[in-house]
Amino acid sequence: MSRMKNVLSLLMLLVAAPCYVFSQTSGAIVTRIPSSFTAEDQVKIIVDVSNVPNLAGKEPLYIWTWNPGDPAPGNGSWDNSNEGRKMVKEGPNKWSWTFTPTQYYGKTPAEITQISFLVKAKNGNGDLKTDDIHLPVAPLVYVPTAFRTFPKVVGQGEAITFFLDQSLATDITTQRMNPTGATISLFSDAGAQVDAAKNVTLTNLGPGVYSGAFFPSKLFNIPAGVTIGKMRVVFKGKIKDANGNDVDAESAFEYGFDPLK
Amino acid sequence: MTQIRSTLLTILAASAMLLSCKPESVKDYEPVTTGGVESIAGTWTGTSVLQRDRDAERKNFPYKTQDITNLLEFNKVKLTLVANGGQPTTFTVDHGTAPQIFRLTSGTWKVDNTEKVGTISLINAGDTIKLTLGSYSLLASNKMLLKQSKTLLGVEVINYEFNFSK
Repeated sequence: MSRMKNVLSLLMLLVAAPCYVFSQTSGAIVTRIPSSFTAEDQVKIIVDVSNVPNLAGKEPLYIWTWNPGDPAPGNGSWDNSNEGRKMVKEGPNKWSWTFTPTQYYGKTPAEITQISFLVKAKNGNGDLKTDDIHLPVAPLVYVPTAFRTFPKVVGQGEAITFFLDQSLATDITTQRMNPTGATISLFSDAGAQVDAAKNVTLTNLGPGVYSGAFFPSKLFNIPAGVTIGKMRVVFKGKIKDANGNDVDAESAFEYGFDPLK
Repeated sequence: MTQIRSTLLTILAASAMLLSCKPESVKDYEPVTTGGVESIAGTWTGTSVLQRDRDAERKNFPYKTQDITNLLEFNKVKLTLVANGGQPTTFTVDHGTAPQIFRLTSGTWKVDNTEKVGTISLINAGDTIKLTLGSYSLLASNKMLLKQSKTLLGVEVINYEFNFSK
């Protein structure tokens, strides 16, 4: 019986071990400024490692990047990161990295479609690192999308106009629905909803093209000191079901805010 | 004899006309004073706002500008700049029920050059809004253009062009 217990314990340990290792390096919260960037834009990446057990409280921290390539003069070795890769401390467990992708990696914009990196201690032995982090890089040419804003970079102190072009939608509901209005929700940097969702009137600009506009601090009650991280716009309307009857339909889009000055 | 008389009469008339001429007093040159603090002081009412996407302009993307006068209800906005002896003193912004695009509603204001204003700073308790003055020629017709730049990581991404009239 005792032998059976030992076998069970061993099995449980074997099953749990990979989960334990995984959980010790996961949980990084990554913020990009601006929230969307091209290979030629300066970008600031902030990584909060408060919830990464293997890195919380450790300092200084370093970037280890390999995609689209190794930056000159390299990352250093795993147990001794290059000092050039040291991150800037923004606050407790918050570390930033500011760079322009083309200059940092010495690559052309066409070669940079994604950035892959992790954050580690100078000596990364013992898994003192985050999981791999991958960020998309926007193309240099304009790519029309079903949802867009004007201006492209928005903040909580700016006038914001948003647009829906159903001809560019990639799902049937958005393509076929007849929008009658939209609701907007704001979320703080920490992910908490700020104030209740608000209704916004849509203007039909042409076949399948709708717009709405708002000024965040007028439409919402944003408490002092709260930074808005993103908005969620839900277009609401009707769509025909299989029997030709009108039924409610929704199409939602999320869009990041940036801390404009 | 008749011909001589006519000639004499013509000469006499011409002489009389010449003698009647007298020089007018030439007024002193008065330089145009627009662009100084006094020319921008007063109460200005908003007329229009243009929002420019500077990032789109740099990348030559479509959708570079948008008229947001109605969204901001800018016709309700009044900006009062008070000056004393050619020096800026206080300001007030009356947004009415319009969105508070200027964030500040009262305080003091400063300029970079009191004779030829380039930038205006609206200040309240350590918070400053910097505005750039547009063309001086607009001031002569009681109009004013103020521009506000919004930056991200030190790079201008949005520019507002506020038009006012007095």
